[in-house]
Amino acid sequence: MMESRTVTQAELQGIVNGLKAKGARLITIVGADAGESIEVLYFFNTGVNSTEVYRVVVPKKGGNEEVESITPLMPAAYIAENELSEMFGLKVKGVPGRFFLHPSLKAPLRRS
Amino acid sequence: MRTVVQFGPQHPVWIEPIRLKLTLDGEVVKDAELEAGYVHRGLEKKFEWDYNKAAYLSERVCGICTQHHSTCYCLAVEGTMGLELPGRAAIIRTIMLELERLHSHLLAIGLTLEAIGFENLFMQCFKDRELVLDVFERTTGNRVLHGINIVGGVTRNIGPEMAKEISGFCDAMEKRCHELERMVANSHTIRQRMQGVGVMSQKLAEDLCVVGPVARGSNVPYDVRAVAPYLLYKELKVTPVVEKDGDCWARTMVRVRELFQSIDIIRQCLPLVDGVPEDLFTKPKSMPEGENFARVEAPRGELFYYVRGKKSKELDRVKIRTSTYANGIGIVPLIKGAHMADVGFITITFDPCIGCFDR
Repeated sequence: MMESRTVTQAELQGIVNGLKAKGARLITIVGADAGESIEVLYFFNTGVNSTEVYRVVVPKKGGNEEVESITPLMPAAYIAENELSEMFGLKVKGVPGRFFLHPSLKAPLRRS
Repeated sequence: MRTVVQFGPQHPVWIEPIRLKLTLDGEVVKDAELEAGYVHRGLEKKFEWDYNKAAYLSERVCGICTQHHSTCYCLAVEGTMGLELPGRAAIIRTIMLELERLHSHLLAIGLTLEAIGFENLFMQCFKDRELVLDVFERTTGNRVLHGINIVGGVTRNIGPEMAKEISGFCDAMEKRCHELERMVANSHTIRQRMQGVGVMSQKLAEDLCVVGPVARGSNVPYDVRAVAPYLLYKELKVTPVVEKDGDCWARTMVRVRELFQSIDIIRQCLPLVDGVPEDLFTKPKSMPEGENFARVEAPRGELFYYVRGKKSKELDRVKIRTSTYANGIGIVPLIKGAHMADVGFITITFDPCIGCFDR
């Protein structure tokens, strides 16, 4: 079973900075619709047999949700953050928010 | 004067569609923009169905590393149920994963050679690859989409006779791989064409978190088989194959050297088939519940599956992070400053699988 730590967006920025200094690698960012909110999970590889998972809970606000980007800290997050944005309709600050999908498609993985 | 050239989506060097918008100054690429999504099939949405059927669906994500996809998916789902995998199933899965790596690397090496115009050696690689596909046909009944992984184990056994046959195959394959290595490594032409082209520094590789032969070619020893061992790799101890230069040559040589590593791992697994119980799978007693993720080292690098169950047959959410998804970000910095003639070649040394990338 997977262990994760729920953090706020502001805390996450500091955590990512710390992980970067320790030489951690970003595995990916996963979005999941949890009904009342959208959960964003950040997966990091921090060494041999060690991973860290951070969870940011973003309450749904009718498509006006905003998430801080970690791309300036970890460029590897670019594609994952764009995908998160186009699949769940979240606004990830500082990234275009489109990568795979045609602009006519609106948040296909978001459940209303 | 600057010219804008659309490279793709249909380009002979790639098998699948991806587009690069290149801004050229003469022959030199000054700026590049990557666009993907031409083969987006919405598979992550489709995964929200019967978890047993999804094992077959996961194979359809990619036609080259099918076994890695289904193994990774099954490991993730098995984790949500707390299922213990029978020893025999773990051995069979490991053998299949390494066979898959063999044929995928032969394909990647062949396509790289084709991209530089060495068609004879490309055909030789594909001829060798056929041998691996024949083994797949004999063991699983299918050449490409094997369909032997189910949640809890595998559906096809490898008996003593088949183990002997695979052992014979390993001997024949090793000879052919040595021949291939000799031709690639000693060829002055190939070396001249590949060395110093598309250099990814170690710093860049670490910053962009690239995976697989792209990372290992840049002296980053990141191999999931060593970093987070799964199945039989916990006992086998895999040492990552690393090259220092970070150029197209280094990436190709990592693949060439990994062929021998895979043959070696298969050889270590085969004797283990004797002396383990015949059980091929454990029947699940519960439904997928809670979250779990699994990682395996696919031929192109780390493959990641996240699964969230809701205690019913249907899954709540599946996220697939394929290796090309992680490597895609590295393409643009490498082709900036390269010659137009090298663009296709540099991208092909990433061994891009666009079916994986878009899903």
